[in-house]
Amino acid sequence: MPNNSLFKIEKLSKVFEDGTKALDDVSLTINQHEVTIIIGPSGSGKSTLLRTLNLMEYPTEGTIEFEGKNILNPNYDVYEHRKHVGMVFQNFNLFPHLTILENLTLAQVDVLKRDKSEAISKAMTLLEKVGLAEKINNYPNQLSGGQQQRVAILRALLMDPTAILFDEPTSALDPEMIKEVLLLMKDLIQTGITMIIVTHEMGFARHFADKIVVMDKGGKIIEEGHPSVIFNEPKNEKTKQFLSNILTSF
Amino acid sequence: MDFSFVLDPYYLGILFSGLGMTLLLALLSVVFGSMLGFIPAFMRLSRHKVLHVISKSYVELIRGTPLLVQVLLIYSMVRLPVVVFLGIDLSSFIPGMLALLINSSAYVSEIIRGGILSVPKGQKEAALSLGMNQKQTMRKIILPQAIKHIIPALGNEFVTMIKETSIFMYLGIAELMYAATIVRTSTYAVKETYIVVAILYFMLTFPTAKLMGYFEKRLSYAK
Repeated sequence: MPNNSLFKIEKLSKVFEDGTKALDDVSLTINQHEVTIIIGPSGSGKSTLLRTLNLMEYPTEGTIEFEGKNILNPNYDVYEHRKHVGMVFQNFNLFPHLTILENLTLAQVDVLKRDKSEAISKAMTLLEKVGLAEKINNYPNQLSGGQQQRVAILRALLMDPTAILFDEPTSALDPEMIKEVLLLMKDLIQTGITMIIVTHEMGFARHFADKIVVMDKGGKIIEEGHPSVIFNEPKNEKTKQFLSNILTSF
Repeated sequence: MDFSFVLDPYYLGILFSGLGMTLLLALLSVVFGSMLGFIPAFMRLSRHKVLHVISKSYVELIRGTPLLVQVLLIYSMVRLPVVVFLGIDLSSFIPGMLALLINSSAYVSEIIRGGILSVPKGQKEAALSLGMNQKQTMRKIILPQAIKHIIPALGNEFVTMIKETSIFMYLGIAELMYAATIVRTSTYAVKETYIVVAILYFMLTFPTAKLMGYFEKRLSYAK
């Protein structure tokens, strides 16, 4: 199956106001229907790169094309763009003042202008699939971390996005809850949605990534390729080092 | 102590019409002061440098000077012809009200700003990431959460505003303190008058504090 590129990132740099360089001359193509997993040590700009894709951050230099359109063009409709590129956060960021059902229907109704009843039935269908249907009237802080994150994934999914960005989706979870979130993400892969994931879950990356992107300190991409290559025969010394650090078993 | 004047319908009438006026002043300053507070709050939160500086200076200036000075200054600047409406001399009522509103808007704006800033950044990001615009994000996500932090502080501010209406005495408006002066000078019951007046103020501030506490409870969603 030939893959069309969804995101085309070229020569992207980002320097924060305090002078730290978060991204340094990053070029990357992200294909449609693929799972791209970004790995690397902390402070290597993984999250910043991810956050430029839905314009939570603006790069200081370079271009990003989405479906052939330059999203950094001042006339580009940022709000429209974000309807097509969902995001899942490390800290879930569910809305604490709204019930689970309201969390899932608010943007459907307010942003997509869906009928309230349609929004509810779409939300219910997904909640039933993940076994959280009985939580609809609960508030987020009455759910476990794993449950909250799964709701957050559904919230992004209900916008029918072209792609979903995952910013360390399991990093804030207790170990026993990581699996339920990863299983849901695995189910999403089957739907063919484009996923771009920043994670430290190397097992997940190795099994499910179509492409691994390795970043290093200073915001550079040092290597990219299929997981079988990256994990088994990394070319870059720093990739080797990073993987051996993170995969160390005692 | 001689509290017999509280049984005299004449003095009672003076005190209660004073209390009524105080209540009116308090209501006006609480309602409009809170609404006006949003203006400097949003100005200061805006990314626009000039708006930010204007609002910041405004708030610092108002908070850094005594209310009495502000009231007397504005009263001396805003000279209106004497017009009596419903027994109120508007030529002193309007400048007095204006000063009180300017004053409370500065305090309220800091409360609102603090409440908005207390909402974690991730909430705004989550809303924006769903395609919500700035206005929807503020209305549906930020403000409903900010209100939880705003209400308790606003309750204190309401109580302060009620007490500060006593400043209108200096403008010759017949509110509670003014009424107290009349009662005191004709009964010579100085201590007793002020005890009664203190109780009357407390009758306004205590239920206000209780009411705000009730709202606070109602607004706190499941923990």
